[in-house]
Amino acid sequence: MKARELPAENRLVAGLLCTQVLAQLSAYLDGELSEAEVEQIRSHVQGCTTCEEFGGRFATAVQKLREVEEEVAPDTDDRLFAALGLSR
Amino acid sequence: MSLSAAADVAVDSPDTALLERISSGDKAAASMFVTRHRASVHRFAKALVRDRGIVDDVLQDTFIAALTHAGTFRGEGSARGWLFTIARRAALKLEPREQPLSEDDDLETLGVRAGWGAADPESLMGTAQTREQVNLALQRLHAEDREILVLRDMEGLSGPETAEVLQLGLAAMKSRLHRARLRFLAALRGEEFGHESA
Repeated sequence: MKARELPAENRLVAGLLCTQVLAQLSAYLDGELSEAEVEQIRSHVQGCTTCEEFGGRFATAVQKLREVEEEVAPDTDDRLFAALGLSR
Repeated sequence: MSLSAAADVAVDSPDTALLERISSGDKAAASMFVTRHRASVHRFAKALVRDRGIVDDVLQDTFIAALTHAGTFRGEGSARGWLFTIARRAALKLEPREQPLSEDDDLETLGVRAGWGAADPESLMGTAQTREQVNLALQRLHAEDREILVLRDMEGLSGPETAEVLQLGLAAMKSRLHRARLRFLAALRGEEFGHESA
């Protein structure tokens, strides 16, 4: 794998580095942080375009996963119920 | 199934009640249980195995085992978690994982692959992102990433339930989930990860 450059600025905003925000994005989305930690991340993001944009895309990606519905093809259903000896 | 038997099984019967009836040989309850959960198990089966030809086998093996052993469900966790545990066992039996997921990349490197610090176009994650694109991105991931994303984000299992199905501690599950989400975002940008088996 080729070397990849980290963002030019790992900024300290509202007492948090960008790398610290990156590490806590899932915990933030999953509601696992304290109010103080949430507030600190929000303050950082307000002052950091990199984290604001990336955090938004990260949240959207997770939301996309949550929205995708699964469909089972009718022939798969037929084979399943036949294998189980059940009627629908 | 007779009409009277069908009437006896309420559509909103809880899983624990259905499993109890299934263990007594109630086919109407079995049919309802399978109908209720088949899409979730199908999605999980697709995440677990790379060979699409055996997804149906995983689906069928899962429900055969679940219906056969319905009486062993103790109701200590959710029936969905129990079912996913059975599915995972069935999948690993049919398609053993040859290589575990490599965790060579540190978090910052994963972030960069996911677009951290990059000026990605808005359209990358816009509303036009289709189910096909999401599924294509999932297929670029290792099964270990797909299974945790399906359980936690697509099927909505709680953190502890997800950890239990994957036989991980809660902290390890959270760490793996975060990295899997970053790799999923990277895969949406076209990055490739993990080809653990043909």
